[in-house]
Amino acid sequence: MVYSYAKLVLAALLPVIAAAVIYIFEKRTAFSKIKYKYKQLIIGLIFGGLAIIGTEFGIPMNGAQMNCRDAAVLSAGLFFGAPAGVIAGVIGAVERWYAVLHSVGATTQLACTASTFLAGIYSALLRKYMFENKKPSAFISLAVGVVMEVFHMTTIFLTTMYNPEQAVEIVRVCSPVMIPANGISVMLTAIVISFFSKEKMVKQRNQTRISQTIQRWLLLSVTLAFLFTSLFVFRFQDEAASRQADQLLSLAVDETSADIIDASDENLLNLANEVKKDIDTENLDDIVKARNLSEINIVDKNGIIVKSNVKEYIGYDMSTGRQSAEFLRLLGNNYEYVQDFGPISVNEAISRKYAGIKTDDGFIQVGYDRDNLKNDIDKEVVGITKNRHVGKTGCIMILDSQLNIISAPPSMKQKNLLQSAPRIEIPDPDTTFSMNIDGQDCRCRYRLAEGYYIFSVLPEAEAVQMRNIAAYVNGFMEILVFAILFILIYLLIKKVVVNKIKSINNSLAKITGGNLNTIVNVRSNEEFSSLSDDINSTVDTLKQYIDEASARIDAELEFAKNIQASALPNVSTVFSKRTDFDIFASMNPAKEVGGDFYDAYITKNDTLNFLIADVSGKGIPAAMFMMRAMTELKSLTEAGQPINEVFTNSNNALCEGNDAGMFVTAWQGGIDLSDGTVRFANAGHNPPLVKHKGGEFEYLKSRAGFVLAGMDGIRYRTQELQLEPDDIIYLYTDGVTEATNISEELYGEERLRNALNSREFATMEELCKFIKADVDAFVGEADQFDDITMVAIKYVGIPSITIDEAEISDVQTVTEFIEAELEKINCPMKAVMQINIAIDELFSNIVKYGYHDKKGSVTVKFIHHSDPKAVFIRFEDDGIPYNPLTKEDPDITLSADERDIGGLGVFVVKKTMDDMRYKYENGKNILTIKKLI
Amino acid sequence: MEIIKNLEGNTLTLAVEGRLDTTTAPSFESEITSSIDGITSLILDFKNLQYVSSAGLRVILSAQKTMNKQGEMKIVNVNEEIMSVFEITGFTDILTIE
Repeated sequence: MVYSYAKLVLAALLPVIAAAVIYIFEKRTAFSKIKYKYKQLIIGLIFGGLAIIGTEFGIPMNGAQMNCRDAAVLSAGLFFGAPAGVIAGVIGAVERWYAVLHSVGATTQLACTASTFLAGIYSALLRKYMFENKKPSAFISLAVGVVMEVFHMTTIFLTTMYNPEQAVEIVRVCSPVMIPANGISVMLTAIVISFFSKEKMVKQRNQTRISQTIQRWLLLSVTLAFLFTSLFVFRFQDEAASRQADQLLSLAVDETSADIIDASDENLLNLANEVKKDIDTENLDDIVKARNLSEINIVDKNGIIVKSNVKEYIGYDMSTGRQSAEFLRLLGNNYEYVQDFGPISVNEAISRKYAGIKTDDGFIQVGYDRDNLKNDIDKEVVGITKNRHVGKTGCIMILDSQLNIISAPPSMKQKNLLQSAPRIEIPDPDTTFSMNIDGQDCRCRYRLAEGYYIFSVLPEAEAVQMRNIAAYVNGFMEILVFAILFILIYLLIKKVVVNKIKSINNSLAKITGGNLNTIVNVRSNEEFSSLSDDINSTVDTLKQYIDEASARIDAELEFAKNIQASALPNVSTVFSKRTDFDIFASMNPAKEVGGDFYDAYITKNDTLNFLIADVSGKGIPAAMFMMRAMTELKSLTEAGQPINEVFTNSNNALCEGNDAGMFVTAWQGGIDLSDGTVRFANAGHNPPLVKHKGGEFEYLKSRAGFVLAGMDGIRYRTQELQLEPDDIIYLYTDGVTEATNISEELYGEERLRNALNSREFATMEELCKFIKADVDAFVGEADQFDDITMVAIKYVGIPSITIDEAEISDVQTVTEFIEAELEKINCPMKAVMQINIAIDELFSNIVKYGYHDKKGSVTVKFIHHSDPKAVFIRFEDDGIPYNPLTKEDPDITLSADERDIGGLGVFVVKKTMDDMRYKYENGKNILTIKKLI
Repeated sequence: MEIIKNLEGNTLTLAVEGRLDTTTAPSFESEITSSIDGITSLILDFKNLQYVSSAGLRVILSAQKTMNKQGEMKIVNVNEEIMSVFEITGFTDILTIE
């Protein structure tokens, strides 16, 4: 027994284990790569196999097989897919059909086969239409298993209608095991799978769905209604069963006792007749003895006993006792009369049965004691009870006064009524009561007849059989009807409400996504029509407001755009007169205002400072932060701080009060226009591209510091880059490289570099416009996502000549070089001459005095500005520091003889040039003259 | 720089062409030094001279000093640029410029 149940439990747990193993396989191995249909086939076969094990490990009982087959089929369908469920169902069903061949429950063959097949279909349909291919939760799984088994039990009823007792018995024994076993098995599978898989289970959100609310109320109301009807039906059926049992029992008692009394009466009358024949010839005592009677009385016409074997009865007046008076009717027209067994009038303690027969002069009365009677009619009594049934399985028992069973069906083992229940108090006759007879609960009823207890007995099981069938069928049907309602309501609500709401939600999502022209149009019923209309009119009103507001915002944004644009220098105008470099910069914001910015300005040391930066975010906030950053950087740069300090200090300043958590990536450099040295710092910005003369554009590899405004206390480093004349540096923001086309491709750094190298550019404006056009062409129809900003600078540089080991005679080379430059700018002859003189004076001074007796190098640079038109010539040497400007001017008023020629040269230069400056820097004498032309 | 000499008796005319600067001044000076003996009138013709630097001025000044002792010296055909140098340096006061 324990072993059978252990097998059953194992069969219930196998699907759980299999599900867990399959899940682990799916996660860890190549199993997940198998095509869906093959996977379904494999899982279907596995669970089909488990269904077979479920059948074979079942417990045989009364033509059925208590089993856990359906759990495997349900698990396959619910947790792994509709096809797997159907396959497992078919396998389980086919095997169950043929299992009869090796003597597995034949009675329930059809019911079990059909319900196993349907279990596959049922799980497949539920998964597909109700759970939408998600896995049901533990509770729902339990319900699915329970409903399936209830259905299974109902099919057993339906298919074994011809034998209701067996049907009830099977269901009574199987349902308490199979319903929970299968339900729990499916539930455990759900729990195990939810443990192994991250997939969301159906119904795990906190919010309830409409269908759930309705289902909940439905569950409550239907359960109450069903409970009430069940109680009513049960009560009614119970009453009816009792009444039917009563009728059966009393009818049997009536008939049996009547038969017995009839037999007894006949017997006694026969005896009486025989006594009448013998009375004249034989002695009374002899007759009594021979006939085994107790008493013979001869009564005269007056009702007085004239003769009796009991001497003291002689002379007794029959009319004086109630019992004896009944016989007086024989003095009338009645010929014979038999009285039932009962106490006699003379002595109530004695019970006898009497019969009397009319004679010519009175009547003869004969009396029996119980023992005499028994001997006479026992045979007949046994005959009567032997073939008598109460209902189908009930019987008649005859008991003697000691409650010994003297007649009962041969199967009865009990010998005395009180044998199994000694304490029972036998209730009054002709009432129905329950007691245990021969180990079976029975309903009993009895009557005393002729000194016998005539018991009719109906086993309780039969008495309540119809009631039980009704109760089971009713209960099962209720569960099934409720399950159907449950599913139906879910599907109906989904069709009528949920799908419509989804459709409205989709439209609303489009509206909130920005498409205010979406029209909600769900017109399946009046409520949704009116909802649709309301939404549409709300959106219309909203659209109107938005239009008004956006017109206002547009105007303000236009204003902001102008302010931002005016903050960025228009470099082509500002530096139009510069010939030592060519610069172009542009910023195309993605919105009206952007977070990108650039800057370019000259500081006093003839340094061109240029900057490109990108503030995190876009729109107004970015634009405002941009203004702050730009001002900060420029003011520090103009204050003469080196670039690393500019960044370090700006960063600290920008970190203050940066509650919005914005930050800036920036790349700023300063070109020393006199020698092309660029000192730069990078705060997390994209590296610029640099093209050296004759080479190609390449990304400038440099170490980037952290973004500005990201964290205070960051220290930045100054890095250097040497530009030679005609070198180009190109800076950009990620709006260029991250421009995206409709296929979601990025413009990218490689494309940018290739575009820059695809051709030569005469001006930086041409370069920038070419790149912008290339990006635009790449992006095509797609929206501009980020600000696109770029700065391009070509370092034209300062023409210069350096003479190593300079000698006086080299002045000619220098003069020729400067003259060639002056000719390029159409310098007037007079100025050329004056400049030549200046060169002559200053160069010769350096050669003569700068290096004493040694020879050193002298560099002469030519710089010209076009507005105002001016020429700068710079002499650099690393001789002894000497500032010619400090020398006193010669006295030019002296006569020729008094004159000393020294100092005249510098004096002439001072007089002919418009400016002359000296500085000593980095070990160099730097003397610059300026001539306006 | 080229110097064209023209000697007529005691009058020496030196027509200087090109530039009179640091590099050319020494040869100009030696030319004067070598040919100035016994000259009472020295005429410097700057008609084709482009400019004069301080090195040139020094030579001119020393020639003037010498000529102050042995006769006279004058400079003719001075162009505007050279004239302005002379003016700046106060040479107009000590030279005879025609």
